[in-house]
Amino acid sequence: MVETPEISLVAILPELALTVGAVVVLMVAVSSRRAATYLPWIAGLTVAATGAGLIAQYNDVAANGFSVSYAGMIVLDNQGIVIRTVMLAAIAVALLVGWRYVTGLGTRGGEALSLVFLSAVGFMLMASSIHFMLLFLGLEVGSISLYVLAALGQRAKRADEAAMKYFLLGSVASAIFLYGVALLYAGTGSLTYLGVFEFFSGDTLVFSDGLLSAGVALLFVGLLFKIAAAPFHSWAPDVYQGAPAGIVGYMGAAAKIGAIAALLRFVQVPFQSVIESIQVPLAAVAAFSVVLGTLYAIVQQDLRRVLAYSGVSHAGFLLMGIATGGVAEVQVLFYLATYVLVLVGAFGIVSLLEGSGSAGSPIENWKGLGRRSPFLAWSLTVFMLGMAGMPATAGFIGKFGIFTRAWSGDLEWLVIVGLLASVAAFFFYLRVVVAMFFEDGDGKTPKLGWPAGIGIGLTLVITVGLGLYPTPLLDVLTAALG
Amino acid sequence: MTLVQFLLLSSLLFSLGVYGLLARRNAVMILLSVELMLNAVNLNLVAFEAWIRDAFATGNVFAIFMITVAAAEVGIGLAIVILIFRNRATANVDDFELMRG
Amino acid sequence: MLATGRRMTLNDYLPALVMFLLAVGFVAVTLPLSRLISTRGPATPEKEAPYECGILPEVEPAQRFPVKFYLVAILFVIFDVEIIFLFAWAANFPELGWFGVTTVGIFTLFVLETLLYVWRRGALDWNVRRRARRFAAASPTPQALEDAA
Repeated sequence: MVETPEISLVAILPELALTVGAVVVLMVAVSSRRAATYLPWIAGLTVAATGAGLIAQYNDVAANGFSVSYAGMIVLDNQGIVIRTVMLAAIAVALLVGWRYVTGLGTRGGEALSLVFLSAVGFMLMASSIHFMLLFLGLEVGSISLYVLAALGQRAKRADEAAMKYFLLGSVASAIFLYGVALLYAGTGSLTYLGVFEFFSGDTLVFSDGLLSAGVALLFVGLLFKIAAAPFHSWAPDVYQGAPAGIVGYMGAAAKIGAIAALLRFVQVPFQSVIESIQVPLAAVAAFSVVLGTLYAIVQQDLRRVLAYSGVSHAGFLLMGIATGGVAEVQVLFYLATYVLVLVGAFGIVSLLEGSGSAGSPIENWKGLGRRSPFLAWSLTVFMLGMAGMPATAGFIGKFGIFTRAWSGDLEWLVIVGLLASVAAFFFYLRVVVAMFFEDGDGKTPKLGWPAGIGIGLTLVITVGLGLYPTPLLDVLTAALG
Repeated sequence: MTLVQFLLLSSLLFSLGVYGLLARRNAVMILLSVELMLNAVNLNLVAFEAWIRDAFATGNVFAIFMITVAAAEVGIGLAIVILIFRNRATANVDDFELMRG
Repeated sequence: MLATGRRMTLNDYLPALVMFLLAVGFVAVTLPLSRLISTRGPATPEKEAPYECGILPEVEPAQRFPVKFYLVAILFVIFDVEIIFLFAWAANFPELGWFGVTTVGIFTLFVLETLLYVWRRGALDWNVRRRARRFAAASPTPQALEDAA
């Protein structure tokens, strides 16, 4: 009889709720002719159950401290809970603003819903994983679901092209990531975060072994690809432009949450003692992403490509916070949370204007929206200012936190690069605002339904509310992550 | 057999995969090249495990999971290739240039 | 932790050897047997032709498989690969005990759920035309997508 690994249901409650939700959705979709009427209820129940699971986890950590289960593969701690809460918020807002996409797919709507849940399971597992194997499985479960979401029910040429590019480049990134894992395994003899940590802290000759440093580099490249950091961003503009508008915001957000969660853990546990060696490359990638994302976003003629390149620069800002290392990740998590919500909200507006299954969104289509639909135009303005980091929006607090953190972490040059890029970024963020309010055009007038209205309203409240009054959330985060 | 021989074989396979990825223009061949890369990693993991004498069999378990994931990836990849072929009667990646900028 | 590193001895391979002998024996017995009991006339040119009647084939049959078999093939690959997890369990069945049975049970439930889904969606339908119709009914037309947008 072997010793069974310790099973802790509470450690995987949110993932469990989402998995059950995904299974139920699929079964209902193929067994009931009136499946479409049940979908909103199942979706709501699943999100609620996931939230309940997160609360149970929070109580457990508050009572017992952090815990490790499943043979040292899953950790239950506050950082993981915060990231999963961000993920849940992204799902909730994405489903609200993208519900039209789900219903528009007809009987395929259940599949889209179930894929959204499954991808969230994968990326949530990345946040709680402390083993490279589970990290890989989470990454693949999430990514493969996203590949299907990008291609689902689409007959438009640009959508299938986006799906193909996303899939091919994504699987290459997975292969590179895996090669890195294999080399790391050979070098350290372990694939647990703790084992790698012990190996590095025992070794005085940091990164002496060429094979090992190549492995670590490949490992990071695989994850940097997922957050679309330059120079590994080539998929992002095409996917953001081509994939169905109703879901692409969630796709970008989910992949970023999962990979940032993994990178955070990387600098906290396995590579903590060699942070000096990886800091310079990470900071270089961060600076390159910020500069390249900003410059390319300025010359784009399509709002969705603008958002994609702004995503590249946001990946750079997030990396800026990660490159400093350390344990208290309040600033990075705050930045991540506000950015992904604004991203999902902004794409919600894009899908309202262009249609939820559409590809592309040229700036001309936005001209005159201020007259045709003031609410949406003002909402998009707030989101754009939030992404740019305008004071009184959550984006400003996030950027400020990241800059302070990097400045105190001896990365002053990076902060200066970031500040310059932030100023330049206002140019492309405001261009669509100018088009909406100061230029005449007779494009489509979007119809605003109540789910999308609630989703956009929620995002607005969060963006402005956290911008004006961020202290409660920051205090909670600081207390939780201490 | 020594570890170096396994490593040579696997890095050769990986390089072949990378070459195919860059040189091939047919989406199915690119898919095959990615599979080659994944299998090179599999070989690496199994060889490393035998070399380390890992008590937890991490390398083997990892390889098994990777085979499963690779199968799922091929399924999705072929589905997307067929979708594209139906839409535009080609699987040549050079023709995928509707989006530029 | 799961038990690992149990050294294999030659005795462990005995069941495999028996299986192999059984397989070889089955072929070795049935093939001559069928030849023995079947009647076999003289080989004529007509008999050797691919079709005994109708138009003579002028070109070789297509070497590529029609893409319609892709779905069945890829479903086979995926379900086939799931089995490797059962191998790992079967090899350590006694040591894993009820823990193993429960775990594999949950895993099998998920695989069955997938099978049920694939089946109900009609992906296992050999009648390719009917399958295509069902799929077309299940997926929206571009027009429907436009309307929903």
